[in-house]
Amino acid sequence: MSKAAGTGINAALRAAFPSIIALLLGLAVASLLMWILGLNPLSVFSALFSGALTTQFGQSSVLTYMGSYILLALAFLVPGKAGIWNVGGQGQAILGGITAALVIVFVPLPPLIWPLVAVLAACIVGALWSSVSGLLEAYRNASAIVTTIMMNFVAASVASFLLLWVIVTKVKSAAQTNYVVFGPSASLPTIPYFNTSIMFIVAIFIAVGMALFLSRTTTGYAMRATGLGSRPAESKGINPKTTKVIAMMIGGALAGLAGAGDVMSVGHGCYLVACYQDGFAGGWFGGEGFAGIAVALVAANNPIGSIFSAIFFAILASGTASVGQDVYVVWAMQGIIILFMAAPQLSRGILRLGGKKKWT
Amino acid sequence: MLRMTGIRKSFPGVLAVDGVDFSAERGEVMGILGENGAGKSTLMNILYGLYGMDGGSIEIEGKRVNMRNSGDAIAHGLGMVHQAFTLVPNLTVMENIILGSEPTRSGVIDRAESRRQVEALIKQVGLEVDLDELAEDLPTGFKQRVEILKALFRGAKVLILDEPTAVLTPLETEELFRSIRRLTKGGSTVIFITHKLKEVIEITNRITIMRHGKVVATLATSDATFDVLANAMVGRQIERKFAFKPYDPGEILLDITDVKAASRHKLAALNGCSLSVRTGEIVGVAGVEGNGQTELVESIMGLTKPTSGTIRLRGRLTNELTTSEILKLSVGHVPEDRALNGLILDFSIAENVVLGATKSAEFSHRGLMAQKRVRDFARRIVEAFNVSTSGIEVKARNLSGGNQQKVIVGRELAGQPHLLIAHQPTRGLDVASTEYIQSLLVEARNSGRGVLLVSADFDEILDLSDRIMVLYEGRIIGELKRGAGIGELGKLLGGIAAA
Repeated sequence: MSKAAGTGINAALRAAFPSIIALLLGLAVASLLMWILGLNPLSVFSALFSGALTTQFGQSSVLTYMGSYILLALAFLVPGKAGIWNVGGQGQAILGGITAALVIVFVPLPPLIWPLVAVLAACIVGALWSSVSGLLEAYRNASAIVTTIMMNFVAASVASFLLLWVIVTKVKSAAQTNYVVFGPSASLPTIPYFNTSIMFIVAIFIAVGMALFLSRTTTGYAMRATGLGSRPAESKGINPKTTKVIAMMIGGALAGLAGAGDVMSVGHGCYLVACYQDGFAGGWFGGEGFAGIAVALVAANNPIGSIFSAIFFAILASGTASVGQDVYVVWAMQGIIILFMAAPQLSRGILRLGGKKKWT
Repeated sequence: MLRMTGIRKSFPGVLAVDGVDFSAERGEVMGILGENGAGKSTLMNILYGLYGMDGGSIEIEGKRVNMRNSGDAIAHGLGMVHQAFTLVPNLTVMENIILGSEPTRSGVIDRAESRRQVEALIKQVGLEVDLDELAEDLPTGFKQRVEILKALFRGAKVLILDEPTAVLTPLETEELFRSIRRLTKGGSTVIFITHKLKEVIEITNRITIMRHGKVVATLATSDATFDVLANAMVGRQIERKFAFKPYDPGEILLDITDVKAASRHKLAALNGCSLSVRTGEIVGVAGVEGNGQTELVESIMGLTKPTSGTIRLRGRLTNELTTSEILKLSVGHVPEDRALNGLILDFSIAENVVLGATKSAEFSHRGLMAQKRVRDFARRIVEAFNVSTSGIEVKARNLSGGNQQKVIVGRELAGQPHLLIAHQPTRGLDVASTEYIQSLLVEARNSGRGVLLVSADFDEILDLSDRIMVLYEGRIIGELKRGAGIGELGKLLGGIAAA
């Protein structure tokens, strides 16, 4: 204990400790819940994990979810570092996805460049969309928590209009079908065995990049300074307003990228339209943006941590398909984990009941 | 009636309290004297159940007790008034006093009964305060009084006051001392934490002196002298003498003419303020707090925009410049309230010393921070300014107040600024750190910099300033030269301009 908290594996483990405790407590309480409901926790967990990890479909969807979750967690936590709360990852992702779809449907380009331009456009639209909330908070004192949530609804409506009246109309007239299928030249490269796009790899790189960006660049430094102490930062000439707006735009761009990744992974073009037919209820529009917040929370707002936290949530999300009708206990478990993470005192209290009073 | 034995408590990297024995008897004022970081507050936070202890025992009236939280402490008749007040601003004084232990009748707050009880308490202890005033409208001294009443209302027989005079004017301190005497006469025990020798001699019956987490002495105040206490507390002789070079001011660095500015809350905080600072002088701005000091400094730094008048820095009009542009005109700024405005507490020392300077060519290259140079710079500051820390990666939060201030002053002086603005640079600091910070200001003046010293510590103003400007209700109402006495200053401070 005599050494100052530094870097290295030890420090990383110590930082991850509360998250691991929250996960274990979440699993324990969820088991208790299952037992009360007359379910066998072991069989639920084995269905969950074997479904996610042993089947090819499960593995594929774990990796796909993972990519989106990482990016959406970053979309929340990077602005969070600057002290501005981006709860609008959902809307930014939807618009990013729609933007990518628009580019692919309306702007045919040579292979390689095509998906690249689509992704870039999605990032830009996500950034512009989130900048509105950033500007409103920085210059008009309107809390981004509120404006980003409200703009989620606007985004969903805009997306629904574009999908219904622009994309589907165009595709129908071209192919006499309700489905948009993006050819390989417009899709992201696929990883053969796992049948998923490279998005999760990109996401891991971006997470590492964001960690370096925050710790090593002057802009990242200004963002952290603004988040941890906007008054000292301001009195030393850092402008908290512009810093917050920039942070928000980075978050929006990352969310937009996540949306594009979802749309441009193989086979997801038709998924997009299927979602529209389901009335925007499930799947892509169901709430990945909000799951991203949970992922960031469990990662204690650490970009690297969000990779591991995303893996866990991706397993849960992917495995639910195998759990069957009792899937609600898995959702309950997610909620319980988030609860323990958000209320560290609660975890401490429970640990103290069981053991030594070694936590204060 | 209260006894702590062999108390130990360590924080990561620090043994904050190391085998301390402490006792307080009924009806006495027990002083705990020590520099910042000596472990005074930690010890009392343990007593009040806010920190768990690693070893030792606490007895109250002969019975061993276990303080798991402040609820336990309150149940055992303890009350603590912290440096930062915990009143709810938009509740009335009475509501604040009863908050959490409201007299109720069938589940509803019994206002008539509350008032009766609170009034009886006030009558008994003689701490007068208007019960219907909103807490936010009270002057600081009265806020503290409400905090004391709050503790007493919960049945506190032992009252812990953590640096109670740090926020008070001299007059309010007098009032507080009168209240303390009345309380102890009524049988209460008061534990008075401070680092101010004068006060501890004036108000306490016995004194426990702490240094580096240990008790160095416990003695009756009647046996204590200023020197004995000072030496025990600091561990060496203190000498408050500065070597001033002959006064020889040069060109004008800062020229403020007829500036008006509004405060965050009220109108017209600065009301036609004019002053100037030249090279090689310390200009002291004296005044009771709330007379426009904050707005004066913020206007100079571009944090508040003046509504009229002009501010010139080295000849350049700065009214419309941003803070970062003003800083580039070679200005150092030691802001008031170091924890709130000066440092980012969750940043390391290394990150704090480059606050605002990361974009400079010295500390970055194409947007990437030059980590090694930042660390070297931090090490240089830690060394040059005697910051006591186990390393530059330590968070500012874990430094004592004196060391935090050394980091700030070091950071500001490292840029070799022409003008240094020091706002309350030694508030709340221990004797040794105060002396050191003040000597740095004198050194800056001797080396030809201009220093604008804004302080509510009148001894500091009188000791250091070449010229003293008295600020009253947003205007300079008088100017004194070095050598002026506290009497002259006192007259002006009351607002009686030497017209």
